[in-house]
Formats: sequence, C-alpha cells, structure tokens
Amino acid sequence: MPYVKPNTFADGQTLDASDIKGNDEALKDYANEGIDRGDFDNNLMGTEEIQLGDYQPITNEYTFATGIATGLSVGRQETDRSYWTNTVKKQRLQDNTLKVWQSNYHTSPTLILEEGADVLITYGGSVPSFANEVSATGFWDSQIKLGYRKNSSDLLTFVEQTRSYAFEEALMTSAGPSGVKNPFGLTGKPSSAGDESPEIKFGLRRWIGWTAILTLPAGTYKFSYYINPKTEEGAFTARTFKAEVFYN
Amino acid sequence: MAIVKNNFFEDGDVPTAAELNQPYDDAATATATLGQENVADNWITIKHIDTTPVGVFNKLFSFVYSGTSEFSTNSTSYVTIDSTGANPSEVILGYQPEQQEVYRVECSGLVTNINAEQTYDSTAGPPNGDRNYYAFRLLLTYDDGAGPLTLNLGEWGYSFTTMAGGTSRYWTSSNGLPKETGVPLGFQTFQFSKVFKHNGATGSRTFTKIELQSKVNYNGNTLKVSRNNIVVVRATR
Repeated sequence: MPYVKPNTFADGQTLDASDIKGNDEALKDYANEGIDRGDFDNNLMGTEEIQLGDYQPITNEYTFATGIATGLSVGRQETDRSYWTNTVKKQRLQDNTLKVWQSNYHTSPTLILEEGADVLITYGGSVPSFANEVSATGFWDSQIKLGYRKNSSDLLTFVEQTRSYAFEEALMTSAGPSGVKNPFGLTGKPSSAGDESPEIKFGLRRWIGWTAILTLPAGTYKFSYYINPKTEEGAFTARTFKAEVFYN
Repeated sequence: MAIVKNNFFEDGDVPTAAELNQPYDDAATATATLGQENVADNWITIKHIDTTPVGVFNKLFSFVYSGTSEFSTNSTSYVTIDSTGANPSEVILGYQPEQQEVYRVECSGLVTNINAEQTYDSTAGPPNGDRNYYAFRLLLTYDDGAGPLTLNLGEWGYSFTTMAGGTSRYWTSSNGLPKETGVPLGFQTFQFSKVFKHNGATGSRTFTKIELQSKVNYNGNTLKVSRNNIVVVRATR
C-alpha cells in the first residue's frame, strides 16, 4: 500500500520534533521494502527498465532476465568432430558395462541457474565410427546420451530420455547380434546384403536427434552429450545443439 | 505520478502547515501509483519476477517416458503411444488460451526393434503400396463448450528401411527370398516440432491435452517405440 503520513500539521500548532520524525520514519519504512505490487501504476515498465540481455561470445551464450539460450549449428567439417581412441584392451570393447564416456565439446555449456528452471535441450547430429580391429560378428552398439554434473565433483547424471545408439561398421558374418542392440530389427541383417555392402554402411550411419526436458533447482550445471564407444576409434559431432532455460 | 518535491526554508521563516505537510502528502499520492519516473534503468532482473502462480513469460508443459518398455503397434490408424500400458504419451494442458498466443511443441523418441515383413515402396496398389512407412502425429484435444474436439497439429513420416523407389522391392522375413532390399532401421531416433497459434477469442476455448500417436501403413509390419517425450512451450503475454 502507498505511504501514509502518521502526523498532519495544523496552522498555529507548536512544531513537535517527534511529529516530523514520525513522518520521516514512516517514509523510511516505506522505502525499505514497504513497496508492494499494488503501488505500481499500470503500464509501468518501458523496455529500458528491463535488464539488458548479455551475450558471451566465447561460449555463444545469451543470458536474459527471463532465461538463458545457447546453441550452435555446424557443418560436417571434420574439425567439428569429437574423436576418440580407446585405451582399453580389445576384448573389453565387447563389454556392455564399459564405463568409458566420451564428451562432445560442442554440447558442453555451463548453465548457471539463478532460480529453479525448466531446461530444454535439443540435439541433432551423426556418429560415424571407424573400423574396429576386433573381428566382431555383430553390431556393436555405442550408447549415446545427455549427461550433466551439478557440481564439478559429482559423478555424471545421465538423462535416459535422450538414450540413443550408434552402430559400428563391423564385419557382419552372422545374422545374430553380438551386442545388446540390433539395428536390423527382429530378424537380423537383410540376407541379400554383403558384409561390407554400401547399404549396410548407409544404414548404420544415422541421424540422431532428441529433445530433453529437465526441471532443475538453482545451481551450476555442466552439460554434455556423451558416447560410450564400443569401437577402437571413431568420431561424433553436433550439427545442431541448443539449450534453453525457462525460469519457472 | 509526480516526483516528490520539497520546500526550502530560510532561517527565521515560519512554515505554514500546508508547507510542512506538502512533501508527505506528495509522497502519499505518488506512492499509490509508482511509475517510470520512480524506477531506475535495468532494475528488473530475474530476482524481481514473480513466479506465482505460473511462469510470467513462458510456461512449459511436458510428458517424459524415459524407460525401456516398448510400445508395439501394427495399427493402420493412429493410436496413442503408451509404453507401459498405463502411462499414455500425452501432455495435459487444461487452460483457456488468450487470443494470438503462440505455442511450440517438440517431441522426440526412440524406435526400437521393428519388424518389417513387407516394405514395398511405391504408390501402386496392393500387394505393393507404401508399405514401408510409419508415421507419428501430434493431436490436440480442445473444448469450445460442446464437448471434446481434436486438431491434427502435424504428421511426420518415417520408413522401416533405407530403400526407396520401385514397385517390386521388398524385404521380408517370412514371404520368401528378399530382393533389392533396403537396410532395416531399428533403434532409430525420431524428432520433430511444430509451432501453432490460437486465433480464437480469449477464453473461448479450453486446451485439454496433446497426444503423441503413431500408425503403420501395412498391418504386417510392427512399429515399436520405447522412450519418448513431448514438451509444449506456452509463450504467455
């Protein structure tokens, strides 16, 4: 409610210091957190009143009073890829519980949420993998998903709603899958296709895309898209990546 | 509102009551309608935005299924995806939009272990036809006061295999030898989005929900979907 002066002066009245002090005290109280929403006029705000958005060119991040947005869109240049080479023994590449997670640096914003927020992350990219020196007889499935750390010392929290798979161009001498996942459906590979046929390779190189919806409390988060590679060497990329923060 | 003014007195002046009251009365009047004259530039930050009862600038509605259970269908008409049998893929909205409100809907998911028996890929009639395809759609249910109605927000088509063209191409697991086959596309992600605007009058319509649905073009083929999600961004004014 608006300021109300506690004391009214009248002509001829002896001026009392406490009356003036009382009026000033009430005004001080009003100015110090006594202003509420009802005191503001309609059409109060011009755009100049709203905090100016901030752009960080290094991280390509926009920060506004209402939220944050960051992202990228890159071509298919090889320099835009994240490469990996495995450092484990070849036999372990067949281990489906391998805890090796390769980050894609193009998808690694640090978001500082000043308030609890809904975070929307959209990704699109492809994961070409190179020949595995292991003579695999199936389709090695590399699992790919979004992960984040709230604090730098935390372990990764994976976002299962982004779970995706990429497959190796392995020697396919058997219709049955050796990995956990079989990209060729219930019946294995098409029998007319040779092991190294172009259409097999084309079928293995897929576009992977998803949108993740997260509701997170205030804090600092480091996001990235991770792959659990089952190949000795490979690469993946982010053709498009976008993170949006909606304060709720 | 006006800016609060003050009176200046010289030594020996005898102020009138009106002069003494004036700054306080001005403050009382002014503080009833604080306006642009009273606030500083750039004063509004995220700390000043009231978040009750709903988000001031945008409101998100979402559905997320992140498990590994598979929804399976060979229906040639659209059915709502329901990966666990008790958790249909739908976003509950339940509000009346304002006129000209703009919405963004995004959706993604994972197609898993498909089973495609026939993947003819032409417009020629049976036994050929476009049997290689399956599709998703986002269906809005709304109510104008006379019961639920639906609006198709969009359809997005995919194929079971990589093959394209021809009237005799097919890949089969049970109907003899395959020829000119394409590569089946299991464990494939899908992802699409849609922007739409409500042109009706404010308060005239209730948005109920948006469902993610799927169908196949041939009932001999089976589509399976595991994780999937939908998000609706309501840009409020």
